Amino acid sequence: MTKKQFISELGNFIKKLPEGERKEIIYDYEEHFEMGMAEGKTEHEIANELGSPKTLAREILAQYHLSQAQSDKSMHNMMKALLAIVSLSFFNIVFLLMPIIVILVVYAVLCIASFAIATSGIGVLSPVFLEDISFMERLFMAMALTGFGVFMCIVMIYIGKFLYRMILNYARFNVRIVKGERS
Amino acid sequence: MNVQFKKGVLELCVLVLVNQKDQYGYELAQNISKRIEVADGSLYPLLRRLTKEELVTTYLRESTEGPPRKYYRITSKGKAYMEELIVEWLKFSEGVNMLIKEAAV
Repeated sequence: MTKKQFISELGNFIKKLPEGERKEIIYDYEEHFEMGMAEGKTEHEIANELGSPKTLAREILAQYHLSQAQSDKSMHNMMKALLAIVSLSFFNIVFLLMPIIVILVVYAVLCIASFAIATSGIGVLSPVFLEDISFMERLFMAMALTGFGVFMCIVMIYIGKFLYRMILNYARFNVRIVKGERS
Repeated sequence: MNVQFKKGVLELCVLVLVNQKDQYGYELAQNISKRIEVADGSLYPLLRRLTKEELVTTYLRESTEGPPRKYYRITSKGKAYMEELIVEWLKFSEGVNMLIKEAAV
């Protein structure tokens, strides 16, 4: 592989990165080629020593998405980071994603339940249910259910924020494991 | 040797080398591949991460040949982290060596 091939392939794989960041990365590799060639190595030799652009791009992307998920908190960024980490090795699909999926499913069920309880208050007001109770009892039950439901919804929002932080830390921990580091 | 395993150790190697003296990327790659076989390319993502985590800083210095070079210098935070890693590494490698010795008996 020539210098030109290496640089254009790498540039292609990381084209989603912001321009400034991408340029800095490319600059480092160009500099590496220049210095190697000044020492009399061929472009082919240097490209071989550097390794495959695809593998490098995976590493660079995983790192980038992870720092994005940290600085700009959104579910979208988190999913991107998780996918990028997963692409680093198959090993991660099982170890990284399974616990997260289980937690997210449980969380989603709890969210739906909270919302259902909050809205069920309105249902209780209708005389179709529990025909033999008075209007006051009905009203009281509706208020209790709605109040409890709304309270649960608020709790779920806080738990959601907490989960986001947890998943982020968990993802970082996994990156360290993959790199063989201890956290 | 396992690629991921080597990458973890690479961080320690880089910190030890820049602690010895400020170096530019290519120089680091040369010094590391003298002793261990790694893909030179993964050095740069690692250096970017170390810079972001403020374990090293960078500065440009003119060279007699070619464009200015980007040098890496260790920070005090980086030194403290390196010392932690060294202790961990020594403990770990001694442990493994002991296991191998005991098994060979």
